[in-house]
Amino acid sequence: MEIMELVAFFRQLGLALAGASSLWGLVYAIKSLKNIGEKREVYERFAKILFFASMVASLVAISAWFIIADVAGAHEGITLIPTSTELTRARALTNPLFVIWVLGLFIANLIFSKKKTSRGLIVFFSAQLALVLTIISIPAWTGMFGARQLFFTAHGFHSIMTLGTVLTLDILFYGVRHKPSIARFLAPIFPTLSKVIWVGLGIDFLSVGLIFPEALVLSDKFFFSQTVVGILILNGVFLSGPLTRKMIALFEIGKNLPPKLSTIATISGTISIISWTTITFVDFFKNLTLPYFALFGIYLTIIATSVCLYVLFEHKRVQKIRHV
Amino acid sequence: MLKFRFAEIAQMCTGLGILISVPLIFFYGNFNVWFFAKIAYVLGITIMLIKK
Repeated sequence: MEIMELVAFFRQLGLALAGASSLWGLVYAIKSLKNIGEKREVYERFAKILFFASMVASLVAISAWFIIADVAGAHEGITLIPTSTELTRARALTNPLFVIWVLGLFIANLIFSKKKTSRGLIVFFSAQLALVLTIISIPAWTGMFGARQLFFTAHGFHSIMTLGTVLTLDILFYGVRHKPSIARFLAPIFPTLSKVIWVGLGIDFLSVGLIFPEALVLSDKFFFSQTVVGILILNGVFLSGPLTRKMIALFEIGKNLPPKLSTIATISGTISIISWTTITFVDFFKNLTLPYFALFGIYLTIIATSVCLYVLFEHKRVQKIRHV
Repeated sequence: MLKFRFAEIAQMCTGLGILISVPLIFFYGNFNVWFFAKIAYVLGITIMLIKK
């Protein structure tokens, strides 16, 4: 495991979240303009939360860009290693975009430090999304639009639809989970978010195994990633299907999630976010040689630790409320 | 009681297919289930997008 591979992972994570928060921030900023009253206020609030998330993610991606070595990988254990020429070409293409991005963020910060209007946020999110989409789609540049370039491009931008959207959903949900009056405005978009995540995974499937069988390397990393993809789909169906319907039904009548359902949703959400992060993380490390069961053990330990920490914090929060 | 829709059960089958394919590829080098599950997944998503 090398430090530069870790930096490359954070660049991808930052880009994915910056892109996804811009995409969904744009949706909410437009929705706030099209609505009036309470709806308008709540949608504007969502857009502002996503503006903040987008800024933080941009900083992570840009910081990683400053120190990065050229590393690119796939996201489900299937790898087509780009040549150094392809990486150098991509860097030459994206470097000016990063400079524009830094300047743009600086100006946006100056403008939005006083007041964030929906119209202003629409302009910001649109520009940010266009930039991030271009940068993330060119992790390597072959010099022409062929099947190989399609592989690199699809592997880049699907992160916005999968990892980034999952993170965005968690950020929004975490912010409003104990406020059913606000959560009821968030819940209706869950099915659309789920569709985008499913389509993103479909794009990933299409771009790898179905196009490049030679990209398959039967390593422990490959088997581990496939296991996580299987878990991801099973958990995703549960989370985006019956669990989401139950949540929407409760939020619509202004009720909070019952403790049992809240815990199930937390476990499912944790599995989702950690699984997406894991398959992206694992593929950024070319020389990761841990055996299958070691990788799987670490994966389960992280999930168990995250759930335990959540339950602990939640328990403390409830006790604090009771004392007040 | 949480209820699953038909499309969700079909989607779960593709997830199970990928999970089952891991030992099949590892022990027998058999990719059939893996490819079938992935193609079924992509087809399922396409139908989901077409059907409103």
